[in-house]
Amino acid sequence: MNKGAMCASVLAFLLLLTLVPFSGQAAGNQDAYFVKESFADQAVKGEESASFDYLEVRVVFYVNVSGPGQYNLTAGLEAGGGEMATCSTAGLYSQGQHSVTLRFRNRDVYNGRAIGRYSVHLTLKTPNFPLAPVEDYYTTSQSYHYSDFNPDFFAPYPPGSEFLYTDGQDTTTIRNNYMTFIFEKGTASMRYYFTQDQGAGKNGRFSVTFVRVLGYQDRGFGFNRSLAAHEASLAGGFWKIGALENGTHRAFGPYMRFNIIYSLTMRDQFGSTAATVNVTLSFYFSGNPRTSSDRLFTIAGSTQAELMIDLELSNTIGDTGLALETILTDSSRNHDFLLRDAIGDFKYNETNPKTKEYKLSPRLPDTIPKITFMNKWDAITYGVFSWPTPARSVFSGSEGNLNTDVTYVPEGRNMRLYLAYPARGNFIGVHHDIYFGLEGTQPPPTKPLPGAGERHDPLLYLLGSFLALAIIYLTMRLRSRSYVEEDEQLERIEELELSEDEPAPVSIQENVEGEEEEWRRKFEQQKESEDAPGKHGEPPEAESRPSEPPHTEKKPSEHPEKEGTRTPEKRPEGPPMKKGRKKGRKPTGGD
Amino acid sequence: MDIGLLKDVFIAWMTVFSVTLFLISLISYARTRNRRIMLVGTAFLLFSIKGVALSIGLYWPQIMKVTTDLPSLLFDVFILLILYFATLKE
Repeated sequence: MNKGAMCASVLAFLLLLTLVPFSGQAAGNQDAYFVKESFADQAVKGEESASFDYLEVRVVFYVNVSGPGQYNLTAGLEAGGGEMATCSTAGLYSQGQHSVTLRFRNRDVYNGRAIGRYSVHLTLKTPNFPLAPVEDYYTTSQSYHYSDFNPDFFAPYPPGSEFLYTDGQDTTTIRNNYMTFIFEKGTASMRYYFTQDQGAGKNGRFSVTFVRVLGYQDRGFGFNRSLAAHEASLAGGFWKIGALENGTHRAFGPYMRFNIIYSLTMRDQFGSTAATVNVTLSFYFSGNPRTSSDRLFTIAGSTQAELMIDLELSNTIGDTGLALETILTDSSRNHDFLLRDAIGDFKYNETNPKTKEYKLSPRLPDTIPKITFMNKWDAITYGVFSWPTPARSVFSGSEGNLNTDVTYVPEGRNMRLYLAYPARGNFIGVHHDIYFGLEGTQPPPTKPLPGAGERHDPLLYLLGSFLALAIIYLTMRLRSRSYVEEDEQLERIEELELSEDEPAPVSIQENVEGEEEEWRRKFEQQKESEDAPGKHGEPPEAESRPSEPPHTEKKPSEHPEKEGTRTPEKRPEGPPMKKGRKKGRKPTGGD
Repeated sequence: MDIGLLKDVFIAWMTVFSVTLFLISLISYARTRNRRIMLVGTAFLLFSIKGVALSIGLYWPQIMKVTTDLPSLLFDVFILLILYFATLKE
């Protein structure tokens, strides 16, 4: 094997490896580095904005230098090889981890016209001049669509988006061309679905049934249903419609708000009044299908029916709590069915709140975190979580926080949900803003494949193919060249062999002519010598030979090499010939 | 540079090398009719199929959901490089 070819291949391979980020930066700036595991990105939208106002990226870096110094961070938002926006910040940082939030303006993102995951090119200049700045790339955790950052966007709404409100004897109905909401008074349940493609199965439809209110003993371990001491069905109460409000939102188009207020009395096992409960269900509709997105994310609030639960208790028994039992159903199972908190982050306990806890990143007040219970990919699991923003307990004009535990239990395609408030004391009110929602007018995107979202470039594929082919070509070329060199070397050896016996090689034809000439000369000499002794006796045996034509057949020669019948022992000294190559090699002209 | 982009390079590298080795072994088998060479060629054929599948999974995941991670890919490329130079060894 040619060592040069192998070295070239290994070099090319190592050259490729240098493309791996940071592989060649060992000797670079070590004063700081980026902690990309802690990076985060999100689109930020104000309540009144029809599109996102910023693309926000949280950059985390670690400073190795002990003393404080001035650091300049510059970030360029890139997509498809082009830069869309830049922003920079500077600060005085000392050793440790630091977090900086960068905001790219919506207009810049919109003008970039890019779709997908964006790349952020980070450059951190450290104070120890002239060290090269620390550079790195970060790919956003989610895909973005430039049109969602259009600063001039005003949510258009089609004809028929205006809501019609009907309050009948048994049902209350809100309807427009795109959605229908029906509240059934007899069962205290509501059904909500989009009518745009009703029946096609791809539009959203869900129902919420408020089953009952449970009073329970709170012994400090949170909600435990088995300890329920009294309960009341919401359907058994009486209700009234609250204030009605409608208008047009800049971002979401027409909207409507109204309240349904229940009042019911809970009795304990002795028939005494345990508590009087007022439940206020506040509904908010903004059914503009055009603002809803069929992209990878949804503009919050654009297509959701929301409700707020406001419980007012009176005459409650001490050390008790209250739970609202609800059944949620997504009949089409095509949508993310979500509960969401009004503000703040939340803790989400998948199975056991004491052993497993997921704490999401703090959010800005204008974003609404949500918890998805139902979607078409994953089954509902049993779980418990708690709102980080507690409900408010109101008693005699003073307010206090009231922790809210939420337990959810799968029930076929439905989910049974318990909202529990440990309300201690008498005559207290519980106010909790909680939202049931169905996200999007379109089915959610298919579940991402493992590795999906990675960027791929066919040019790099071609580069890899070209490099591999180049290595193959190079090795083949060098290998064939070694054959030629070997042949030439063999020829030189053979020429050397011949030059030791004769000055110059002769051809077969010349050999034959030379032999004939020699034989003729010998014959003539013999004839001359025979002419004299011939008188005395028989002619010699060779006498007949002259009559024969001078044959060209092989005759043992004194110099067999001259005739191409070299013997191994006569091989001159020199580089050894390779056996394998001797076999198939073409004959040289000298032979 | 996104480290995921290196997959493109190495998958292409692996595919081309494995196809080449398969062709070489095919030619060798045609000349020698040695069954051991046929077995080796089958191994290279499987490598080639893997490379093609990874290439499809890279750009058309809706057709074939085949993925790999970069370290495994590097191992494959190293293995094929060694095998390739082993075939060149006289």
